[in-house]
Amino acid sequence: MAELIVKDLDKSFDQHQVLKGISFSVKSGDFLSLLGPSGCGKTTILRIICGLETADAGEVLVDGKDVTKVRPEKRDIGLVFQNYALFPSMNVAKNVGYGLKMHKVPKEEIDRRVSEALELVKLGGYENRRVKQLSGGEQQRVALARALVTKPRILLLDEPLSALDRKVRAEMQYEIRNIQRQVGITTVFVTHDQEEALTMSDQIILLNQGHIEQQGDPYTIYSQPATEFASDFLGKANLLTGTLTEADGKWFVAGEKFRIPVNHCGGKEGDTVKAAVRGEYFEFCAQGDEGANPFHLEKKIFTGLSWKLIGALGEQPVDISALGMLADGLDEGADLFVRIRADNVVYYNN
Amino acid sequence: MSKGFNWAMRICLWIVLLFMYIPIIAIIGMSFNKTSYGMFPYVFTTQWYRVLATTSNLPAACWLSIKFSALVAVAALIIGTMTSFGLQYFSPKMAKRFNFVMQLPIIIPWLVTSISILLLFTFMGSGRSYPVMFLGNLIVVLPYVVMLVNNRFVEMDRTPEAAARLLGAGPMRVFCDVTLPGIMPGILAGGMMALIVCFNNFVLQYYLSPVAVDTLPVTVFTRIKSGYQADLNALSAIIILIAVIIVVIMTRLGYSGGSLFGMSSGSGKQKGD
Repeated sequence: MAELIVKDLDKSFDQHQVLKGISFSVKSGDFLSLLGPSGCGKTTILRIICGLETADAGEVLVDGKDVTKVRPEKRDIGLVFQNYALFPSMNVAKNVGYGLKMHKVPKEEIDRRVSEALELVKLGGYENRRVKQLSGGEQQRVALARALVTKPRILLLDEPLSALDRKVRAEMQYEIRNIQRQVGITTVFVTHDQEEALTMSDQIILLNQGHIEQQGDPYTIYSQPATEFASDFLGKANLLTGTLTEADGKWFVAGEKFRIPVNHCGGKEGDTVKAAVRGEYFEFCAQGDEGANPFHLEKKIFTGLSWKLIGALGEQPVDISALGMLADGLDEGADLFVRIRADNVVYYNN
Repeated sequence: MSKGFNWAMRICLWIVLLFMYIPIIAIIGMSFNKTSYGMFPYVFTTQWYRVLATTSNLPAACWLSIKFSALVAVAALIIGTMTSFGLQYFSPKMAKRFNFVMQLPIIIPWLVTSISILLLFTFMGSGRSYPVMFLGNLIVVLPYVVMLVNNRFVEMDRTPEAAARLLGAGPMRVFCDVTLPGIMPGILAGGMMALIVCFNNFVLQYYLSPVAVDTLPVTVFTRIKSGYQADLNALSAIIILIAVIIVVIMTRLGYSGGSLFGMSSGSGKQKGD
């Protein structure tokens, strides 16, 4: 258990600057996700934290102590790799016990703690299996046990689930979170999968091209995306261009044949702004209801959990997602009315 | 493909195999023949093996060659493995250039290499000697080791080494515990190649061996020029037997020639195709 602080990290490879002054902190026992598209620098941050990469500038503090110059083997930070990185020449028990052996733990204690760690990841009795005999999910569990058995101060996970198939991945998401809570270890998780980040994290940091776009808890990040990039990367929000207007002390974004309410957060009347609205926050209503906007339904796509309704709000294209009970009866080409609450809309003044 | 073509190809294959193996089989047969020059009538005898064990000068030369090749191979393995390890830290561009320079001694005819070395050391005043022969052979076998070990480095996953590092192992421990087992097939292949190339290397040893010291290739050469005797056949048969045993053991251990040298072995047909 430890608190992690990262301060002003800069890093360039050749001429390309991959990190531009990254700073954040993780509270002791928290689960933080670094989320972003590939090439945004998230893995580089992880490698700098554990010492496999050196930053050009900035520092990493664990429990207030600067570890920037400490060699990786002395940092006491565990890392689980995307490709598991198990030792192919050793069996499961040797793999898990390697860190303990390096820390000169007595043999009997190693055996005991290895069994405990394997129990923790639900691989009890796998001690003598060869690594190559294990499935991808099992290998990842061994890697997790190996990283946790030495009780490191911080656990880093570098896209640990992206090589697994969908079903195993969902199971492992739940399990990693569960184990992390049980052990209470401060964790930094790197992923490009927004759903994974939203499900697992206490805090999310959204990265783009080497800088932090937004930091917050999953609900805030999702419902109040701070930037256009954030609104687009986390579950593709609809962006509506309109003019900021005020009426009776209430604020709206209005465009051709639509007007949606917003909570005022900067900008003056008449500014051209972009409003971001997530597809599932639209509500069907009747013509003439307060806040009703015309929606022309062009196409209906069944996605399993919900329907994706592609159409136009006024003149601007909008995707609405609606559950079956609301959308089963709608026909393509229908003219409908929808409304939305101001709390579910954010706008960007640019 | 037509049946006739298939048959023709099959016959070709057998002809090639026969061509490769008839001399080897013949020499084993001849080592048990009474006359020296492979003539008939074939009279079975083990007398050449007795000559080999008693009066022949071949075992001494062979033993010298084995000791010498082993020494060269061990030196080549140590230097070559360290070189390939260091090579991994080069930028791809530099590594490519370095590889080119490294491979030159394979391409340059050994004749040229040996004469240049002889000239250089004669100029420096030492002439033919053990150290010079050692250096010459080392130069020639080193590229094989570097290439074969490097091949393993390129193929293998390097992340387990980073993982070991983070689990508390220092660089030396990581090398012994993780890197070395990973590159072992390359080291075995490189060592074998170095041993065989050096054991065989008539040209370098003919020019560089100290006066009156004859390694096996040099001795065999002299013997063929004057006083051929079939104890040479007997020695050849024994060497072939040892080679077969080594290949069988390696295959049993899961190191087929192909996997060691980074080439594919077996047919391109996959199961279930």
